Amino acid sequence: MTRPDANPRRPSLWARFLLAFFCPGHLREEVAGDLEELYARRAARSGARHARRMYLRDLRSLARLAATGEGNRADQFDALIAESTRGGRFMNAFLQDVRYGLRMLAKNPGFTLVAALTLALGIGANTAIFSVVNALYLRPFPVENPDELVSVFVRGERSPFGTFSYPDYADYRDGSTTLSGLVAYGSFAGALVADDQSRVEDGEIVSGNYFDALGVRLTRGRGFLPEEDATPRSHPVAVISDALWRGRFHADPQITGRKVTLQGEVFTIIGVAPPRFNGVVPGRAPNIWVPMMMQSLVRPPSAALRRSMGGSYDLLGRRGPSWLRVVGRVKPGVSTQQAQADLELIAARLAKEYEATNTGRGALVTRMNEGPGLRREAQPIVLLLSAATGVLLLIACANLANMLLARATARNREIAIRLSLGAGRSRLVRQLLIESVLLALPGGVFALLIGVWSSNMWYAIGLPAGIGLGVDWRVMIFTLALALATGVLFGLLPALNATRASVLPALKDNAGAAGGGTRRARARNLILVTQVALSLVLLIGAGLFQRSLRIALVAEMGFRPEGVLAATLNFDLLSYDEARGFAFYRRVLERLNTHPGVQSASISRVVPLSGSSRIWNIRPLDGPFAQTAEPLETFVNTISPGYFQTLRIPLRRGREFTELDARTAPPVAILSEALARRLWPNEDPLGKRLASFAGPNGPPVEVVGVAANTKYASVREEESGLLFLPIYQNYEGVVNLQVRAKGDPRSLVESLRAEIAALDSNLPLYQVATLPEVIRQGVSGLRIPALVLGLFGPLALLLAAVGIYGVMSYSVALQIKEIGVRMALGASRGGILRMIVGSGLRLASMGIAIGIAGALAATHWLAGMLFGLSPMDPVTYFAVTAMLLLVASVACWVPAWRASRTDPMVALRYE
Amino acid sequence: MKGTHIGEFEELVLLAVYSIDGEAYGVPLQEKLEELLDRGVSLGAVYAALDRLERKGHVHSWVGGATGERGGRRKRYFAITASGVAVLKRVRRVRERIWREIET
Repeated sequence: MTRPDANPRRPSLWARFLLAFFCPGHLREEVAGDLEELYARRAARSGARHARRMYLRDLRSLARLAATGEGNRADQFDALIAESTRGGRFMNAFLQDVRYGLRMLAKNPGFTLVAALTLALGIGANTAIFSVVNALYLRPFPVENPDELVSVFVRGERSPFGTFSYPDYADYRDGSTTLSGLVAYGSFAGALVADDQSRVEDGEIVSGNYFDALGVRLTRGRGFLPEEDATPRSHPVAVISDALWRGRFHADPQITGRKVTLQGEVFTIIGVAPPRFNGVVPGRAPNIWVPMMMQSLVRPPSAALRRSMGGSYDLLGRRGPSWLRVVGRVKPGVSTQQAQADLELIAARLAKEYEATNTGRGALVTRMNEGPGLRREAQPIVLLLSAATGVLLLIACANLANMLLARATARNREIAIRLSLGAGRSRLVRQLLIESVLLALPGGVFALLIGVWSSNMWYAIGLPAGIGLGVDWRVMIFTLALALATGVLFGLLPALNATRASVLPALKDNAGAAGGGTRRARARNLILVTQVALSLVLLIGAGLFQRSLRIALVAEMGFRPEGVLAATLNFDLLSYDEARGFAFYRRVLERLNTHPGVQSASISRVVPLSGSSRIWNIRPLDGPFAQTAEPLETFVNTISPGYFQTLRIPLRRGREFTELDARTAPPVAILSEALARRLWPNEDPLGKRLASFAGPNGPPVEVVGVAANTKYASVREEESGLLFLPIYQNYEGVVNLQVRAKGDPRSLVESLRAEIAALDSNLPLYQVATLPEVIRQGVSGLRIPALVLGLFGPLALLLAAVGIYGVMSYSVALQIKEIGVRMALGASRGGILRMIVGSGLRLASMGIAIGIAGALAATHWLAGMLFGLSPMDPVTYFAVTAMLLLVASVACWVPAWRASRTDPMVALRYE
Repeated sequence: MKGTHIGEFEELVLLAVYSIDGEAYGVPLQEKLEELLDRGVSLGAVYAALDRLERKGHVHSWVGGATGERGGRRKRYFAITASGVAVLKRVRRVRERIWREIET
């Protein structure tokens, strides 16, 4: 048996606490030393118990020494000891209880193990969810005074959470009176060459005040100097993340001053960010920060935007294109409302001054990260999963409470004896509660392990690595507090119930159990019904998400993603011009189309359902919309010949793009059926014209084909309009390859890399994934709940089955005499079986009925999260109910069958 | 309690200090007394007596250097003073005189 005071060389914490309180101050150090030394000697000589007694005696005698103005300290000491023990010795009583509890648990190792495991799973699931809650919502940003940070947006017509242009940002930064700092950042993909290895790293291009205004102290080197953010392209310097420094630079102590190649230019590394700093966007973890003035090199505008800007690469001088996210720090005592009012004034001034670009642009200030982003998107899912784990833990508690109730009956006699010997009821309840808490604590420790392990699971099912999951002190306290609360929760009812036993009948014989047992049986049945009901709610939730996900994945997307490999190519990183880019497109498609493992290959700007999308305004020159000034928005994709073939999109009318649709040829476009119907209802769209995208004087764009509708931005979208433009007429610097493989697309990854490297070994190829993988990422709002609930559902079912089995076995054991009598009087085995299974199923049915009512009430708030089915989907309800009934029948049938096999004579003699 | 008079327990504590002169601190003193008297002696009683003896000038005390054991806590050492020795000798003389009277 483990002793709680396993270390006999030191007195217990409690005793040392008393010492600090009672020992005369001027002697404290020496006396404490003496006491500890004596304790160790005595413990070695005559055992810890003796040493502890003597320690308390010495301590009391010392307390008497410290006679103060408030009276004799020894009296206080005595009073404290007496009060906490009611005449006994507090520590002894408490330790006795703990020791007794441990002994009881050790006596029933099977029960203890099952209980601890059940709790570990129940609490562990909560820890796993809490670690996400912690990382996303509770842990403050590792910056100075994170509470002062606010997110700032441009409130526009399309979205209240718009981005900034650089000149607008600078005006807000310099004009604000309520902010002590305003920083801007934009993300980019950085082709970083270090040690002759080229890899694409997540980067952020940031305003020069970024690290200073956020209050981030770099662990090495320095942040950006004002002059490094004053003149475009003059200072190629970079700060890198701790992860990058440790990873690609092997924690090089001479990192500052080191030269690397970024986007083909030489940059000097000037600093390393602290380990926990991952920028200010939850879920992202940039590895490189570059000052804003390097924009035209590091983050060139897309080729389409460049065309509209007359070929310029510079965004810093333009108010039109908005691309920067902005975070501010309010001055102490300033509210977000005040900051908002302040920035609105600036917005109004800008709108007056720069009518062409800034009309309709306002400012919006929110608390940090309350705008769009992972925090907001994840919120409903996190809430849902928290509720589900809570329910799971309740089910686990119900199971344990039932097991404890059954055991309490077995311990009836022991408890009755202790009651009759004068043990107080509160003392017994305390004793039983200590036992249940002792059961829960190892569960909590297991749960922490599950919490540690769960971060890998989260990352595997699609949470971004940048959110930095893990077990910190918050997660630990949460888990241990939950374990304690759980111990009390599942222990209290059985404890109160057990100690209510009347002494006499219990002492006389076991028959008393039946008397005190009806109430107990009622409690057990109540718990069982609750448990079945909760399990059903959880299972229905799991079923709804599973079905939803399946529907979403086989939904009519209009194209066939299976067998297609996708990857991103970025020519802007190597400053390709259009001619070189076009040549590359041609050669790479040529090589891939003749590769033996490839059916067909194509290039497009956007991978459908990847989460990225492009929306443009179009203006038809023919038809009903030709006269309206209102801009018409539509999704746009720029594609190469072979795109429809590679994705298996049927062409309804006209022709596909060919290589002849080049810069010198007249501009052409293909519409989706939905867009064609919208623009020219009841008319033949072929030959119709759209206004040029190249400027007011450009030649009109002629419609040459109509393609079947496809999903583009989201599986949830209804028939949306989609416009296709030929890529050889509309150069793109960042494109995606689609390769339809003859066999497994994964097997093509290496040859794809080789083909690209053969054409340009410096061109980075990234985001390589199969199209179904890309799409799965896009439906993570369904996938994560489906996966997690899919894990919880069966767990709940298992717990319910164990619960039903346990209760039925136990009640059969109690009724064994009755069963014997019935059988002796001629009841058939089948009749016995029916009787027992029937009584079990009655309980289960009650639970199911309550569960269905609960699920109907609870699942309607899932409506917005599901796809393609109602939260009252009858198929799910029916299937889940049937499954639960089946499992319940088996769980009842086993003990019933065993009972029906008993020999009536044995049963009658059974005591 | 002024003066140099000492009680019986103080006398025993003073004797113990004298007998383990140089290394006398709480633990050995307490153990020595328990051994001599063959009964339990609380640490508080020992310190109480030492406190009184010090105020009467029969012992003086100082705090030693940091220790390696007992959690690094320092020890308070006690040594007998000249007046302490004198008082012990006087008590002893008184007792011996009385014994002699009894035995003769």
